Amino acid sequence: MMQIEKYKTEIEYCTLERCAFCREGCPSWEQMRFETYFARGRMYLIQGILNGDLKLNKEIADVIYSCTTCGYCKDMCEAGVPTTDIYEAFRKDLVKNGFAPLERHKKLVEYMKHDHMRNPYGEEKTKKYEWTTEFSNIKDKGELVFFGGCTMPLRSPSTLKNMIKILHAAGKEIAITKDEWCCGSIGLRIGDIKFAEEQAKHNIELFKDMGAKTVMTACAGCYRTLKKDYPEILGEKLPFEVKHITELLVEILKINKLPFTEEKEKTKVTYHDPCHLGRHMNLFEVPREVISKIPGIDLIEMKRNRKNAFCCGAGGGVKSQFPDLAINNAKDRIREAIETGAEILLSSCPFCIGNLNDALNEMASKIQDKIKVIDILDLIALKIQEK
Amino acid sequence: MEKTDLFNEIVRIVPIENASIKDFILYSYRKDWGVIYRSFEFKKTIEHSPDIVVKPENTEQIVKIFKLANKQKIPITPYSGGTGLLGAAIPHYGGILLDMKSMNKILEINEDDMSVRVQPGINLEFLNNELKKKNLILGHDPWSRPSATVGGCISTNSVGYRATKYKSMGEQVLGLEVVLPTGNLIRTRAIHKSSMGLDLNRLFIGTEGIFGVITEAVIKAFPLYEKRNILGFTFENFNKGFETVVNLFKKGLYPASLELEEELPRTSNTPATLQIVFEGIEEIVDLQTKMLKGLCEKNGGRENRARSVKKKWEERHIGFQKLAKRLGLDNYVKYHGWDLNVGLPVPFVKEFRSKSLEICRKYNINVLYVGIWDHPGDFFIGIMFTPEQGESAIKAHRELVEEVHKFGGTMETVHGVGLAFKRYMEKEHGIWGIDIMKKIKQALDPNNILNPGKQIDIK
Repeated sequence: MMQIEKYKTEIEYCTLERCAFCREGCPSWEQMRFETYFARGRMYLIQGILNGDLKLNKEIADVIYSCTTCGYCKDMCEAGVPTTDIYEAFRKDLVKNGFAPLERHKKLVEYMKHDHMRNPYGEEKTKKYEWTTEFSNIKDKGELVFFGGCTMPLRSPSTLKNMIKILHAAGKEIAITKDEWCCGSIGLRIGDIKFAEEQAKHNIELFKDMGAKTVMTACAGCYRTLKKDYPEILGEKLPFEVKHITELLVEILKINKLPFTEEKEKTKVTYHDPCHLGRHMNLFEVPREVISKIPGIDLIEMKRNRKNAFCCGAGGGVKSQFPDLAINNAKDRIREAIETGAEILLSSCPFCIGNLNDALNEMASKIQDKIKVIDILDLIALKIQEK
Repeated sequence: MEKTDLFNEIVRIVPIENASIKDFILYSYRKDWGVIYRSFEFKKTIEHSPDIVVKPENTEQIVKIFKLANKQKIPITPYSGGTGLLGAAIPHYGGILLDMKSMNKILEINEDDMSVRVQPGINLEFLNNELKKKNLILGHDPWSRPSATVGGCISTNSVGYRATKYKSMGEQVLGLEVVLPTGNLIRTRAIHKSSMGLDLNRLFIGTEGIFGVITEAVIKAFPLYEKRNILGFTFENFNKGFETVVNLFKKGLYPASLELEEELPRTSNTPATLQIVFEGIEEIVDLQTKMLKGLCEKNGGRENRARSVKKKWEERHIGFQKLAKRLGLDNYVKYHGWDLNVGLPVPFVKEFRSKSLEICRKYNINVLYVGIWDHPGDFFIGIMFTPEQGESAIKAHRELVEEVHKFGGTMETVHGVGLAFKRYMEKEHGIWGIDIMKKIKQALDPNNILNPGKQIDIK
């Protein structure tokens, strides 16, 4: 039996009532602009497979993997068709039938399984912890464990250094293990789940050994995986709480623990909701609350925000397999941010920030002069450093 | 012409990434929104793949495509939002499918003229939001606003929630640029009135692309309202509510939106709910509201709670999706059903309502609701039935249409004709009416390449 068969009714509904309210705002449709590339068309294709009109093939796999699994269509569907769950189920079918993982995804999975790596970037495991060397106050064990993930330590370690400065200023101490594996998000999103259970078990054992009461992460993808997917994979509640860094920051800022400088002039910023934090985990207001508590900051919302936010284009394995699609969406998102008049585009996911910056680097220099893309952590650190 | 040869010809006209003959692309263009659900007389065989999908970017490309298709006698089907309900955008004979959604630019907003010039693939919701920035709004507000396009709405002459004030989409058209099937281009003058003979815009309004494909449209924009009042009243029965609506119009009180609905109606004395929306200048809206309340009170209408009335209005674009969720998708997909939106001379509405319930009762068909939408003469009836009741539902539908015509009415006021209602066109327009249409079609499209099989059949 195929995994998608359990969604037969939902698929049938979507192919009967083809309202297409999921179209305007779907990142893959925005770039490809054929019916096939948004939920209505994808559901119809999947039904074509189920009723035997179409056969599984590499091209259909490409269509399904061109979705960033941002969840916009799922949220737009008032009838409740769980589109992204259906895609993830179908991806498992594609893996099972040998049409996936796609070429580049295969490589990522290999890297993650490699004992010297355990990250999808193909970097040596030790490189993930290089950023910690300048901090003597990071412990090996403790109640507040920080899970660094792969993207931030390997691609934007300066943000992690900023985080430590902020936590230090707030009097918070964290513990970090040097044996964490990739959270497993990539495998889960691309449907190669065999290894995900092993990854989850490995990481959970580490956290337990460290005495974690809270596991915190600054990555939206890791956050979703730890908090939502781990209990589902294991079929049981986790023995610790999972928090995103913004949830800790809001607690810190509520009791006014950061030594911000007084600001005379306002800086206009806007905020990009990472899909894995917002639509997937309903964490829309917490990051905004954090931003609102930074002195001298004027938050202006983009036209599409919160549940309606436009995906940066990187998720669901798209960044690695279809880099142009990811970059082109990010360019659209940057243009939308510039329309607000903001000088800074903030986000709270290293993967979104990386993709947005990759896009910005490809754009004309006059656009690059207009806006910077940084993490909320970087902005806070800047405001503290100025004191 | 072989598919690959056609592809090679087409990509001389459009960029290669704008055309596809791949099965997985073609497959997703096999139908529009819900044709099977509504047009129960058809089976799945109505679905059909095109031979090629083309996304034109400009008028010149369409002119070239039409010239090629006309020479080679290849059918062309225009397709935009894909939200038509009656199959007008289904590529019934294969051939070239023109996906118009890439022609989606706003070309000019003319604030003094209160008009906007757009490409046909622009989405209504997006356009409305852009107009709001200039203190203007779009008058057209159909159920499908989040996904429908201007070109599709003109081609079906569709009607939306605020058509009481702003009328059908067709009546909002000022000027059009159209590519004719032979590849010739016409552009009508985008002005508010003309007495210079035949209004050529009308050839392309509601004719679902059988005479030409709209490549540009100038449509009216309206002032952004200062105030909007959404009001709801419950009447003892349909007739009381209906009389109130008639009086409302006789007083010259034209709301933006009007809906009188009777859920699960019996023959008499099922409560009916009236929803009225006024929008415009604050003082006028307040006065209209006061007068409406007086009229409703006279007929025993009780005002409904503001919160529930507002909620119903705000959820107008997602009503059926919510219904489906409430019923459970597994229940929902088991049923078939349709809405009939008919236009009647106002004096016959009450009689038609009784007659329609009688017909449905005769065939044991479950009526979900009946009511009035936009105008006192615009009557709707919604039914649901199991697949086993299919034959009875077809008979009931045919009898209802007979009755509409007997009363001098029109059988559809909202959604168009497409494939589904083609069978009723001769009844609706008469032999000579159809003859005119066929002659126009033959004159403009001698090879019958443009959207063949829709509305009328040409040998």
